[in-house]
Amino acid sequence: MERNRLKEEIENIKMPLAMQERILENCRTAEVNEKENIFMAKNTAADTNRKNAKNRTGKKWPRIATVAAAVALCLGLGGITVMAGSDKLEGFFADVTRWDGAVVGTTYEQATEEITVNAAVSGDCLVVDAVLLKAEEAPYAYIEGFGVQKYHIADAKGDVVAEGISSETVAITDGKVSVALSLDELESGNYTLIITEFVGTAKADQDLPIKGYWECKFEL
Amino acid sequence: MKEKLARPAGDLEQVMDAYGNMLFRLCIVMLGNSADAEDALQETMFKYYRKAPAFTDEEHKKAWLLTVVGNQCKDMLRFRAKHPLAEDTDIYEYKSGDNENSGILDALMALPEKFRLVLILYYVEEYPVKDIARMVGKTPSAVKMRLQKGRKLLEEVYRKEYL
Repeated sequence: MERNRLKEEIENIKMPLAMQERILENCRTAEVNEKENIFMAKNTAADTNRKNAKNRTGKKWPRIATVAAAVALCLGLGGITVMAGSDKLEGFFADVTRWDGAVVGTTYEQATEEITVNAAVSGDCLVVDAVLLKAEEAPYAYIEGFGVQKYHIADAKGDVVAEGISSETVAITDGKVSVALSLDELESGNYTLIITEFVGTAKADQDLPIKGYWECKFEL
Repeated sequence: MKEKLARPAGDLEQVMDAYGNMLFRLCIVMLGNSADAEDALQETMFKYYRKAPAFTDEEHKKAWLLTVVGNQCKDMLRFRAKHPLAEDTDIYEYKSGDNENSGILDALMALPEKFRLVLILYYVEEYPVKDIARMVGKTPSAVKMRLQKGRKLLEEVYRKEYL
């Protein structure tokens, strides 16, 4: 095999100067924007501090009222914590922002308890069965295709032996999907599949990353 | 609030001069089209400007840039798998020197991206296996396996098409 030839041919690939200039120009623009943002943020913070300082002057609460307010707040917060703790964690939508602050997409976060996952080896593939527990609710109700977006496989020692980019999405049937992942690089042994992101697709809509943490053990 | 900008003035230009071509080569070979390569490189430079750590030496900086650009290309490929382009760019448009087409670049481009990345890092950038493993987030044995399979596939494609 002509290994030197490969090196030589690849090293002959050069970036066009115009492209180089464009990239640097965009970075300079980002730098200026960032400086302006920092300047504005500093001014806003200084204004807020000034206003707060102004509001504080001349106001002295009687000690008893302060103690009463603190007790009421503690009791109130305690009640809220108990109420919140009794429920399960629920997923939520979050904006994806670009370096300049523009919103460029949406993700669905904290979906761990809304999807159950099982994995089993079939031939040279790992078949991941996912059940959408809230298939009738948003965002699952609007999704047509479903796939595993980010995953990795750890061996018995916990070392990552494979990580995935899976682009396959499959149709959802009765809130259930089966996605096959390739296992072509693994030797036999005990492994753990860790999924950190699924993806939901719908016609004419941007893909929705669905984030959480799912673990499945399997033997090869 | 982050009040201090991460990089001194003129640093981006120096990085672009020193490593621009190397990063572009990796992007164009991984992605197969110049628009995506430019986007990946742009994102890498933004990340360098905003998030780069304090480097111990130039080698550390180079390895960091290669890791970031490799991950950026993977993200881009994931996006392209779902939103394919009509056609790819001819990589030979960006080749200088003698323009004789030996076919080895075409053979390389025909391989899956996971093989292209390790082959370039090993044969072109001449990194040892353990460094490549760190850059691509794999174990050294997985990298060795990829190199072995990649070499075999490259040889097969090259022999079949060009010899």
